[in-house]
Amino acid sequence: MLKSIFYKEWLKLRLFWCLAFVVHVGLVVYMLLSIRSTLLASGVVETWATMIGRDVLMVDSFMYLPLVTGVCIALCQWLPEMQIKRIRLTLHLPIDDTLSIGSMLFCSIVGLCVLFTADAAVLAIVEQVWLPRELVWRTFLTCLPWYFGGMLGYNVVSWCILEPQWKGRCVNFLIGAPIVALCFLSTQPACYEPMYPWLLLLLVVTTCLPFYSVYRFKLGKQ
Amino acid sequence: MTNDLVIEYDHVTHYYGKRLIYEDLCFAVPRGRILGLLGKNGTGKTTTINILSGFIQPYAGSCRLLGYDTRTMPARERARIGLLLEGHVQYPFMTIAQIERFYAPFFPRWNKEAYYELMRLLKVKDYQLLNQMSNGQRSQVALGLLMAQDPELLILDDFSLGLDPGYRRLFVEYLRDFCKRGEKTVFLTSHIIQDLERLVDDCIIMDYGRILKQCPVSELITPEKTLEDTFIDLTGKY
Repeated sequence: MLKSIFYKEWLKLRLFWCLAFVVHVGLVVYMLLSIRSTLLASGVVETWATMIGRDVLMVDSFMYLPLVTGVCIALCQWLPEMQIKRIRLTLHLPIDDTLSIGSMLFCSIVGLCVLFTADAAVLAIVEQVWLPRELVWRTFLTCLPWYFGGMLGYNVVSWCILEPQWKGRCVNFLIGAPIVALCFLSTQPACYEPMYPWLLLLLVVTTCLPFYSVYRFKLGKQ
Repeated sequence: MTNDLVIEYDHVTHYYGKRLIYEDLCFAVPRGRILGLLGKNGTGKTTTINILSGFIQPYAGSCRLLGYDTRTMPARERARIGLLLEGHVQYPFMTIAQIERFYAPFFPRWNKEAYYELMRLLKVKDYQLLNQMSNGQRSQVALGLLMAQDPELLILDDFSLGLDPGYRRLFVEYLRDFCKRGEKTVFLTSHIIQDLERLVDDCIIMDYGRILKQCPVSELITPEKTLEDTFIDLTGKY
């Protein structure tokens, strides 16, 4: 039965996943080409000195892409479900509601994890050819809060869309937006290091919020 | 109430905010009967369907389907209940074949042939997307899925919405044959009263907040009066 839910999610989101993959590959390639051209133009020593001395890691263009991806996937996944309350079809299936909604969330969270891991892996593997290991690690730590932002964005937007009342959606958005904004407070490389356990905790907490919206839907708060 | 009652709607009261929809509403549907719920707009027909389907919890009273309270019904028991949502809502991004493949593993009595028999009648291709089909064709897909599910109880919310007379007739005839063959219990609403005449055994006529009449439909039809005439006599023209 879970296979069937995954099948439905794949049918619904496959075009989006393909598009997201192309955009992510495009942007990672663009960033790598930028670093490569800077290395060629300014020389290795000058570029490394700039990266270390001025904290310029040349990955700023990537900053909001995980967030945009997370938000878009939540919109593509849940808007069709909430349109004419189509989610009633899922909630009427002979399978526990937590399991059915959980498996739908699981599909997208795993998809986002795979996409973000692939981004980070390609970036790290290629950068290793030109940059010292410390700089590659620093670049990864700089991008990490943006990945958290993407996941949190997905959870918060899912929570807002699944909420059955407009008033509740606005409240959810007002609570959720600052949580997501936490991940974009600074572009200073690796400055989020002490915050990762808290971001992880926020991620776990926000993953539970869509279930509360569905619970309210089933109570008839429509 | 006995075990042979498939639906037991027991002293249900419901409010939307402070607005009372109905108070202390009671009715029951025995196994094998087709019951139609008639009422003007806003009398609580869809609310009743939503309470029956477990999407709204009533303010007071209880609702039992197949012996289970809808609030605590085990999820697996939902396989015994077929639900048709108003407007024949289904997944528009799926094709005829994909939607069948999606639903099949959920229902132990799934009958693929019943679904494809109806699809052959529609002359639609397996690869056709639901969002490229007319309202009438989509209604037949929804009906085909219900037949493949082979539930004991069918709950149909305004099944005639958006259908032209041809598709309404096809829907009613197919549904009637299906129900008679398998001794199904059906609870339905429709705004086209003529359809109910041909389909239902029993009828409930609702007005704002109460039941005006609950009896076999044969008692409401006379040589001089159609069901629609009786409905207007009871509820008033407007």
